[in-house]
Amino acid sequence: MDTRTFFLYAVAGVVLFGIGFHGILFCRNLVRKVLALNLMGAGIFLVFVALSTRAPSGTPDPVPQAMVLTGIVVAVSATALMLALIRRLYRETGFTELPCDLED
Amino acid sequence: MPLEVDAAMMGLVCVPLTAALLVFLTSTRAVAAWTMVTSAIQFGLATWLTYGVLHSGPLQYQIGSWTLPLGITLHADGISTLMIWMTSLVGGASTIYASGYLSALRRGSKLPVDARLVPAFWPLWLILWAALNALFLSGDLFNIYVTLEMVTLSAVALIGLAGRERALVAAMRYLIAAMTGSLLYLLGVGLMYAAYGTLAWDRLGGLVQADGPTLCAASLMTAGLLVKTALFPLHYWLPDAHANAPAPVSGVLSGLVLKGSFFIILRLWLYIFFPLLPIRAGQLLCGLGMAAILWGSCQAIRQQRVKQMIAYSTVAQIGYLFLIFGIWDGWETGLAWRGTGYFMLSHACAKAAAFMVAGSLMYAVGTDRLEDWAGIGRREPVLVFAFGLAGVSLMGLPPSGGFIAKWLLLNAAVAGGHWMPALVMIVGGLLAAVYVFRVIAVSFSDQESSQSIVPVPLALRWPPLLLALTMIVFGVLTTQPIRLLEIGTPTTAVAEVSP
Amino acid sequence: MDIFIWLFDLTVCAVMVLLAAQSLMVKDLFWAIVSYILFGLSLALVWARLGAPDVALAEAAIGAGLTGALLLTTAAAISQVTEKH
Repeated sequence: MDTRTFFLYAVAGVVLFGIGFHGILFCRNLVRKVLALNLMGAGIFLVFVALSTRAPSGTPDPVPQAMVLTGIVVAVSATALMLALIRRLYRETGFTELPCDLED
Repeated sequence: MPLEVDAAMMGLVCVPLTAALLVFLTSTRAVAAWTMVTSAIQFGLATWLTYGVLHSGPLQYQIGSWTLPLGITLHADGISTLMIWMTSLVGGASTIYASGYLSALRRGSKLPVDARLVPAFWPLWLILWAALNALFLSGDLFNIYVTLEMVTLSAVALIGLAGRERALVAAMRYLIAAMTGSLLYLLGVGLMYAAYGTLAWDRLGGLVQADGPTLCAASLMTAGLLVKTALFPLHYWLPDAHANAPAPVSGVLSGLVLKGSFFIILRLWLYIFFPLLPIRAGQLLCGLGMAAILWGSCQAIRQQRVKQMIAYSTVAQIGYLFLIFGIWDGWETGLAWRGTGYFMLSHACAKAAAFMVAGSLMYAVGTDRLEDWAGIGRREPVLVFAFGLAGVSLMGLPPSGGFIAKWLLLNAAVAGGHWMPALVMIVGGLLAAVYVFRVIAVSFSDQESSQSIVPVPLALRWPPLLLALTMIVFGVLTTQPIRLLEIGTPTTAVAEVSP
Repeated sequence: MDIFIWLFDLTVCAVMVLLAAQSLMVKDLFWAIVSYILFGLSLALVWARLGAPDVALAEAAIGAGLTGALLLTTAAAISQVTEKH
């Protein structure tokens, strides 16, 4: 595989990261924020693998792959916790967005 | 390298993890006792590791003899050992306190915490502890990411346990901020691996060059960690999260969890990037630190709820930690380094003690509104005394750990001619005195509170005093912590090789 | 041959970015989650293309599958209670 391919995927990864980051800042719905975080994570994993597989030997480096595998598991645990919190928040208060300010 | 100390390093991570699983599987009755046994073991292991590092220098251990890059290295040098010992001290006191707190909840109390969620507390608590130990021992940047996530997830779950609207919203806001922060950090880690092919921090230190990708990675990682450490103006999530968590959790969050991410910033900047970065970057962090001290202290003075006040005090105290990047005086003199290390230790004990006192008085009175605490000092003198001692350390008055830390930092600032940070440190101490004395004055005022006062159980009364007294001890016995801080720093490492 | 692979790469990347953007922009939460799951599957394809078949499997099973299931049940739980109110 040539450098151009990896460059393309690395750029796609950065774009995904950007989309996710934008979503974190501007989406108000909490489930939407979960999606945005996962998109950011996916973008980073793409950058990880694409950048470190540039090696001229052609064999992919196993270390970033192992890291991405670990990262996927971490991401799913974080997602599960966030979703559990969202459901509980919804049961207690009926919010699906974070309120701007809570009075006492 | 003595084999036994390796066992201590492994035990510090494995014992709480195993205990978490066992506690998760067993019934709820004996669980508090089991956790206390575990924390006693942790304290023993941490002391053992400290002893080992003091006598034979920094230690490394390859888990299962798997070597890098695929294996995992545990790396214990002076600062990480000090952090681990601090974790076991604050964690142990908090465990005793938490057992009292939870049984008070089970009996029914006025505390704003949902009692149904008590069984989930201990496993999360132990996982948080294991994750903190693993974070301090991590030898490479990716494992730091994984352990940092473990810390965040268990901490957020513990805040959410309070189960009330405010706590849930605060936990959610914290989780989103912290996840964004760790993803920024992770992107930086990816860039570092692509550029250098290794993530072991002790190797990266000799490899890094001041090129575009490295600076980009450094800024991404730092930005992510600043969100997690809640440096002004990224502290927006902190006051609510720390104030609305159950009291033992608040203490651990302010005392230990924030230190985890700050510890990584220290590692990155001082051990890897510092020679490369423009002086401006250090001055920027130092400036933000000064702003945090002033703004956080002023906000703390304005608060009506005591836990909120202590949380804003944390915002201010985090500012002191970042002064190191503006007043850095090199490893040889090392005043800023020792001062910052000592500050982490003393702030952890003092802040945990303060939050515990707030939680106990909340149990006694039913609220943490300051006006309802009028005259509480005559009913609960031990607790208010502990708060006062913690306050002495937060203000930086002798004899306390906080005094030693500020003294070292002030010396570093004055010796380097950095007058602004020195001035801000003194003003910060005065502002801290204002909010601490406000609480003490109200507790000993002549008015009686209109609230009925419930007597406080022993487990809610003595742990904060224990921590506060330890802080006074560290204001007098300073040699061992200072010696520990000097082990494994870049200069000593070079000095060991050269002769 | 090369040009086809290059076209494939371009298409997959474009599809991935579009699905990602759609999952954040489409109004209905259900369709947003479906877009995200499809995004996860296209990402799995990319892992296979980049020589990481194990990551591809994990992504399809955990990233798209498990996460998707969790998201869908949460969305259902949230909207159910809304209808009751």
